[in-house]
Amino acid sequence: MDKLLPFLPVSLPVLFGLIVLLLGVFLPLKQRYLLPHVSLVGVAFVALSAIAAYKAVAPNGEILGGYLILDTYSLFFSLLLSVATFITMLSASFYLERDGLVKAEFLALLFFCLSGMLLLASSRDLITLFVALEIVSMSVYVLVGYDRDNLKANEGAFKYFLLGSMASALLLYGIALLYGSVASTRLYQIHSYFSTHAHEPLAAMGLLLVLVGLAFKVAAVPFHTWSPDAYEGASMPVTGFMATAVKAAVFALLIRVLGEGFISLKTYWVEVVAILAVLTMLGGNILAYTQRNIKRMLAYSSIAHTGYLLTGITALALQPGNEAVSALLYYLLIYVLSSLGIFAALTWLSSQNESLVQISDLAGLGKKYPLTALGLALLFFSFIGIPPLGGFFAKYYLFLTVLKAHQLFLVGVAVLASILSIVYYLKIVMVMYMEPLAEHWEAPRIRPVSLGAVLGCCSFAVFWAGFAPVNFLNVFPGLLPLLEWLQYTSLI
Amino acid sequence: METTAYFIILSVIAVIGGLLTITRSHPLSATLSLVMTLIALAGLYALLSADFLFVIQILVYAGAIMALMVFVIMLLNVKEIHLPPEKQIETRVLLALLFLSPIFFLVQRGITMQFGNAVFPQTQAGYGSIEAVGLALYRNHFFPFEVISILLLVALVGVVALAKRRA
Repeated sequence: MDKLLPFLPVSLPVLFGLIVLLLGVFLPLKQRYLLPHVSLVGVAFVALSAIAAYKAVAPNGEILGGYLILDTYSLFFSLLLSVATFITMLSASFYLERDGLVKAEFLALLFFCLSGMLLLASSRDLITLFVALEIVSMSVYVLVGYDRDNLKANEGAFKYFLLGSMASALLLYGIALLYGSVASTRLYQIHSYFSTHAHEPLAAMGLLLVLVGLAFKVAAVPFHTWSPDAYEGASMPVTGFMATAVKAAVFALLIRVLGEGFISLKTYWVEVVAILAVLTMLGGNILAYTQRNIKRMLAYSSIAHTGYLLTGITALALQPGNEAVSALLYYLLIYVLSSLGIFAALTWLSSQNESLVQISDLAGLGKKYPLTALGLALLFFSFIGIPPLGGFFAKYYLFLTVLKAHQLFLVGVAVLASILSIVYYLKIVMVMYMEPLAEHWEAPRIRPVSLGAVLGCCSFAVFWAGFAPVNFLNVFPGLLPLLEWLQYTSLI
Repeated sequence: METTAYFIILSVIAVIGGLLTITRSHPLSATLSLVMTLIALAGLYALLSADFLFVIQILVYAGAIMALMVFVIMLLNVKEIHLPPEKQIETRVLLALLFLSPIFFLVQRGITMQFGNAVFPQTQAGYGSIEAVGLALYRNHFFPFEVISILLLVALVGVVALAKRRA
């Protein structure tokens, strides 16, 4: 058992996915409503197994001679991704019921995707990382186009599939070129090779191709074109899943690959990432301003947040130590929590019809559902970075580390971009509170307590994170390095 | 010298096949051009003394997968008139090549800088045999190899989920 324990977080989701698939076939139709319940219990078990596996291999954490590593970093991501998948399954159960879609495959694909994401968070080998990334992408392609009769979903899924395959091909070509130089795909061997050998031109090419492939996957400008279409075509829970779990998982990979594997090649990639960050921040924020469809707006807003995170990645290279990692993780945590709350609320609001996706459809929400509107407003304020909320501290720590890495220009652009973002986030809040209820407004048919609880928890977490950052971090053991860093900064 | 000549011939065939694949308007001719590329690639593997890979490339890619694709195209029975018009395909390909040419240049420079004067060692006996490939797969890289099974499972479930007739 002890030997199998480290593999549980990766294999348990696959097992649960298969169980859900079989239940979907053998359960009588009347009892199929149980499937989401089984899946939710399954995700809880996956999260528990991640903690157990972490405890079993601590303190070293390496298994299989370096293929996998279970450190606090991967534990943090395992828990974050499990929570995001949990909430996605919760909101997906309402969506699937409304559209009369088959539940079993949807939930099974979410499970397989979770398995791939956990692998992304804990792998240290480029081939394994590539296969894990493909598992994640492949399941998300299908999830986007799951509603086969919906033209928009088909369009989004197909665009995502074509561009995603292209990105994977570039990534794989890059990995092959790197392998040609180093004769190994392990991240730490790449690091030790380039810290002693001269930098070879082919390796630089490989690095560049890997960067382009990953930029596609995180939707950094100018490789972002698939993202608004895919976000718009997907159903609300899947859009939320892509904006939170998938994005966090790809960042887990990006931070690990650039921070651990390619750190000795940093002269090559720091400037590239900085340019990408500037383009992404400005592009995302400016394009978000013109959107009327709330899903597209959130897609561009998530591109903008990708930009802020990319500035943090440049700090990763320029500053030794874990500071940048902690700031990035804290930012990701707050970003994922806020997005999950927003998407849970939107799933509920659009539970009557999926066409409720225009920003103007939110008019009058403040009077009709004051609590929901309050939660949404809090989360949007946190996205802007209004001081007492978690989003402010996340941005503050992130920009501070970037500033310490002497990237003054990047921080300037980031602050400017944050100011730009006020306009479109505030527009939603204004529509919710200041405009009268739309005439064609249809009240949501159900009032699920669970989705309300998700929104409440997320808003409270974001609120609390601002007032008591240190206590908030105590709750999550994976954030211990972050906690140490926070204490370190308070000393200065 | 002889190897270089073979290499040039095979790569030219592969590149021409690739270009034909994206420029032919009829799917069947595009697929057959792809077969040409894949067979030329198999030849390149053989030049690298990867004999097992050579056989597999012919059997699986040029054989099984392409047969499947040809079957699908024949079942769809696409006629030339039903195809969507593709305007100025030559110009587009030329522009794409022009756009990519700096990258070709960089790759070529990189390769000559790194391997320009390198002397390549002779392969040992048994290199590229089934045994060597098996050892690489099941001993050195068994973990990613196992993980691929999850990927195949996802593809399988995904195809069923997308293609299944809804009740």
